Amino acid sequence: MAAVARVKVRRPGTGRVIGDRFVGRALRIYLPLLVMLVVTLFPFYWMAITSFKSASELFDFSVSPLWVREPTLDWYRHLFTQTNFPRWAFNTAIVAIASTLISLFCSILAGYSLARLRYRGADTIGWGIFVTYLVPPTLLFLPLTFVIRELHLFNNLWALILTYPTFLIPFCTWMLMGFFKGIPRELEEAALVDGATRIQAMVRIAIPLALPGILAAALFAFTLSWNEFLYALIFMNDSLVKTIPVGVTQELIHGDEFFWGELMAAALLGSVPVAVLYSFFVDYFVAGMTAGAVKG
Amino acid sequence: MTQGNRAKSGWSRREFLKTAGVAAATIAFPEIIISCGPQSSSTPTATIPKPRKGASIRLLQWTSFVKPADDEFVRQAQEWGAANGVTVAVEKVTGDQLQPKTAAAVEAGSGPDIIQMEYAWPQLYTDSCLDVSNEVNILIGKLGKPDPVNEAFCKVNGVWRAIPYTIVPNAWTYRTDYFQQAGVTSFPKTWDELTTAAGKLKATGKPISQTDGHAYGDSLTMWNPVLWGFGGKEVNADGKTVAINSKETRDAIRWAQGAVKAGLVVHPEWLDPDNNQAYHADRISGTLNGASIYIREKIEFHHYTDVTNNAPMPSGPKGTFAMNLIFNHAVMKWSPDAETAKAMLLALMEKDSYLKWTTVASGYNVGPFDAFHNDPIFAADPKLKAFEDVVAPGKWPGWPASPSKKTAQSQTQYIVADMFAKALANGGTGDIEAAVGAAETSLKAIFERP
Repeated sequence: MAAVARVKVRRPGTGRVIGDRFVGRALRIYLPLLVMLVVTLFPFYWMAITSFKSASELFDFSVSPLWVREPTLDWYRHLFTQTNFPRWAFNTAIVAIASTLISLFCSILAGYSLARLRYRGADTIGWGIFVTYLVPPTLLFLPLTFVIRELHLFNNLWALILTYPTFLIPFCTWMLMGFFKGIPRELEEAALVDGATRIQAMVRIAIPLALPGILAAALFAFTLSWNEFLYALIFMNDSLVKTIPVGVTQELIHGDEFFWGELMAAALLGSVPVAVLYSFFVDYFVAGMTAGAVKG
Repeated sequence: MTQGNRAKSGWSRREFLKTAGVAAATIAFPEIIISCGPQSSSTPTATIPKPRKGASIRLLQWTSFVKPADDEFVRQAQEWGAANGVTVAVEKVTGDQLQPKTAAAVEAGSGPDIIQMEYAWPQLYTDSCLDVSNEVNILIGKLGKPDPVNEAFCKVNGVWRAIPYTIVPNAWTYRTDYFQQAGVTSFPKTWDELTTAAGKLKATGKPISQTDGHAYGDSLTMWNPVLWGFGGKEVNADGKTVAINSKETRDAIRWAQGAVKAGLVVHPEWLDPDNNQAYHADRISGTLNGASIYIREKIEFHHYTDVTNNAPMPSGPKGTFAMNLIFNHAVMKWSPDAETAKAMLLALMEKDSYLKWTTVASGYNVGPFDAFHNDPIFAADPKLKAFEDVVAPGKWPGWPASPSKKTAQSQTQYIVADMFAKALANGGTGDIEAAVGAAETSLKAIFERP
């Protein structure tokens, strides 16, 4: 880092460092940022403009596809009046919130235990949990189908609420193990010396300090649950119990014809809650990172 | 359970004598068996299934392109349900989603009472599909002979495991204005004429285009008929001897390479919706597809309806072949109300109801029995005639071998399409021997394994 700091390009004759001026900052910071913004936001832009284009405009390549000439709300109207989209959104929210809470509860306990409690095989169990996460859902859905049948949960949101943690808990546990390991053990030991029980040390010391990690795990779990497709496809049958990813593809793709207007309107609306959640928690997340054990 | 009991007890003397007698008679007098074909089979003794009042039936099927047709199907099913005191639910998923849903139901031994079977699924899921020979024979008595392709898919070892439901025919949809502009007065009748036309059309900037990728409809329906048209085949009729490594296969590939060099544009990245979109966006002048492109132009976009026409498959040196999307209905073994499910399917296949449905489908579907030939919907719009014409030359993946688990496996691995795609890479200059060799290796791994 010190070597990099010494390499400063100075404007000839002035002695000023280019990097400190607007042009320099633009080249170093804003240009890469702009490129990244375009890359990440373009899909949203494309979804948005497509959802406002009329049927005839959707396939008219004689004009630039990057603008909307005659915006229409027909696709949104259709989405809310001709499909069960509001119900799908409600179901998705219920499933995502419930499975996130269940996964966090289990992962916090498992992560803390594996990171803090010294017992034989803890490391192996930790690795085992991570390896479990690597098993693809495309292999797991068949045995899980059998389990769901035995529990009589087909076509019931509980089927998703209970199966999503099978892939959420391993990763969240792995993630939280790292966070718990990063908290100085001495803080909890001090609490234990002062008479706190292990549970109290965990709840009052470790968990508040691991809050950034818990939030990150929550975001991760929520996003994965919100977007999950395969289990929702297999376990849900009726239109009224579907989630957004499944409902949208099943009712807005007809044979080999895609109804892009409604599809993009649904995709845009479906991505809003996750985007809002991320933007809201980014500040929280950063604040959590800066508050730490050293604050004492 | 039945199989288990049989395994325990072995063959009784009576069973052995009966089977041996039938086998001897078959060898000595094959005409006896032939004369006991569908037309004479059990119609007089057929038992008409009775619906159970209070039953609940769930049917899983794909979301067809024509939404009003899906709605009409649901309406008819629910109307029948209301008349018989049966609750009917129709679940619709996309064509791609039908397979995992079916596989999961089979694995769990639980799920919809009726599942729409695509292509050779009755062969794949035989043990989960109930014997519906009685019901098919009732339909044969009423509606005449079934379509040979539906029959080949539905009948497993002589037992009907699914009830023929529909054919989604695939024909060429093309722009008459671009064809005229290029000096091509009618759609090519042979593959060689298609090469010439493709060359002329490319000059207009609106090429004839098709996928050679992994599109479950458009890729299979293109490259299998090309292979057959030149006399090529994956496997012999015995379903065991791989026959892809032949002069005829190389002839088919050489034609395809010539067509691509002349101007046919192939897209390995295209899936089933992509040629539809390219056509609607005025980027291509012709493509092979179901009637969805034409119907959507006609009922929704109205941009190119007047300058769009449809044509049947061109012929090769060995004849005209086509491949269409085939759907049949299987009653699943776990259904607690199988008789009710069968009764409902019979009602939906009644001629009047069925023709009402195909009329709403606007030519996207063709009926699978003789009685549905000359469906008035195809007379109402002469441009749709091509879709009716491709039904007769229709075959199935793996033909001339009968559909089986192995032909289904070869189909889902896109071995034929991949062979053409390899040879058509880099502007139609791929290595033919490497393409045929790779296909042969893959096919041998499927068909010639013990």
